[in-house]
Amino acid sequence: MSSGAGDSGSSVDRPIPSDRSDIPTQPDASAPDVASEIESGADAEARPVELDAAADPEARSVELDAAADAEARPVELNAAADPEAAEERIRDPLDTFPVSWTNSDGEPEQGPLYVLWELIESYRVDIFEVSLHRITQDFLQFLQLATELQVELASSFTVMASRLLYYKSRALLPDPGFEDNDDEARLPPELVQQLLEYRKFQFAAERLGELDEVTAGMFTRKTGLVPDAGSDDSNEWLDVSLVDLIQAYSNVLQRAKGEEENDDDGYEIEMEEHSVEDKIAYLRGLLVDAQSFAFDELFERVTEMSKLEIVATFLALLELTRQGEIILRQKVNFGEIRIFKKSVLVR
Amino acid sequence: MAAEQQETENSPENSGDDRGHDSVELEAGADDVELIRVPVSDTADAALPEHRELSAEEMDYYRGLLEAVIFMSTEPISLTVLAKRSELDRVNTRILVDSLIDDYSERDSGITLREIAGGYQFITSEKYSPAIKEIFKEQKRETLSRATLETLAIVSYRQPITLPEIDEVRGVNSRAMVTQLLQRKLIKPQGYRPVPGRPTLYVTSRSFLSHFALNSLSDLPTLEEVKELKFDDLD
Repeated sequence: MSSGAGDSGSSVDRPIPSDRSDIPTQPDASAPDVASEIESGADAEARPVELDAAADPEARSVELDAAADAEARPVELNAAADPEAAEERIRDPLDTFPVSWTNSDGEPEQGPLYVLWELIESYRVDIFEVSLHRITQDFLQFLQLATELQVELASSFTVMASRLLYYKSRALLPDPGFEDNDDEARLPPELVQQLLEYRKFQFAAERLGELDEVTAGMFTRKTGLVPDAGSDDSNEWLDVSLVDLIQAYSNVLQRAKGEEENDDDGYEIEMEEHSVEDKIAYLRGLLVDAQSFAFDELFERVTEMSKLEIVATFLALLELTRQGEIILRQKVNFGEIRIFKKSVLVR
Repeated sequence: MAAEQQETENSPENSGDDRGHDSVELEAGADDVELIRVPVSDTADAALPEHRELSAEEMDYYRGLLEAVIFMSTEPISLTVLAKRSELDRVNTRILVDSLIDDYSERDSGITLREIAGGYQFITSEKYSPAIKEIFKEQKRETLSRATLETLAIVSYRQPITLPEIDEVRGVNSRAMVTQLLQRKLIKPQGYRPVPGRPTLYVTSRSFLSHFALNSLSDLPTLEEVKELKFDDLD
């Protein structure tokens, strides 16, 4: 909205930003006037026009065409404030706002820093020269127009808006240590720093995007084959993924379940004999003698184990892994999972 | 900046050992964020034969063999595996593979042999990327959105990094982007930051390197320091 907002009350002729090449190079000169321009944009003269346009459906298309004309824009903007027409019109001003911030699905996913950068770019001035007043004004206006923000996004935008307002209010106070005869407030250093840091990654993202474009057309052969890594006595062990572990556990449950189904003598309530603590002690005991054992060994007699015992054993395994006492490894993906004492693997 | 470079230089080792799938998170200790890794390289070396001079005939034979093995594999093959499976020592294997790489680059053909993600792999040439993309349209891979690329860039240059730290740089909640990257297996969780809340640390995965046809993280374009930005630079 840097441009269109208040042009009705101003002699500064700024074309709409969708065609950037036309933007005059001195737009910053008009910045101090923005606030007054905004107010004048809502002046009595503009109102009737806007209401008429809203009431007449035919006039709407005409008006849309006319949106390319800088003079028509304030009218359209004010129309957005009219509750009746608001819904169908709200998109139009956003479409011509210098910031485009939606992904291909039209879902907003960019944050306030992105919007600030888009605004700064549309001003075509150095970041250190950006008027705090102007960018705050434009940012707030953007926020008013963008009514369809997701909650998560909206909060970060609101935070940024209040930050800008805070900076602005701070800038109103005279700074005793600084001879500021020159005029108006710029962006404070902390915000500039944050913007530049973000900018760095915007550039990096652009380059990654280019690389993505290129490598999207570079194909490798999809034989589905990988060379056998070699003999089995090698010491190469792979980490066990959580998925593998869950798979192994559900296999165990499957086997236990198969047994259960044969047994339909009704319920029998048993005393709980198995605690996770017991099972931890049991696992530790196993690793005193052996350096490692297989996951399946743990559940060899699964058909005799109660569900409680299976669960307790598995929980004990998870607990010891969490504490870093044991480490799970496998030779190949989806292969046998073995349990190692940590001291065996780490030197 | 110095710290960043160091990080980038250190990380390739990391990703080289990475087996390309998520690992069970292990807590080694309060301040240890690294996963415990089984040392593999020295034991693997032990299995390789002693270095010896190869005759010209042998050279030709092994060169062809290596070429065929790399050609067959769907994933990049490491030098160690190549050496072991063709019963060569590392030195000879490297010499032969390097000469293959040179051959292919001299020939300037549609296929190149490249080092990707710590291994060797045949891949169609960059030069034909746009044309191939057009011809094999149905193979088209989903492009990453701007916000997702941003998040990925932050993770690649700042890893290991937590979600709140990403949010801070982007100035907005990035959970959705991180989730998307996790789903596409471009990043993976690795350990926790030992601070209150124990947030998960994210690093780029091995498939990140394959995706962008990089050999290691040090092949990423260097992160430019943006100090002053005139609008002229923007165009």
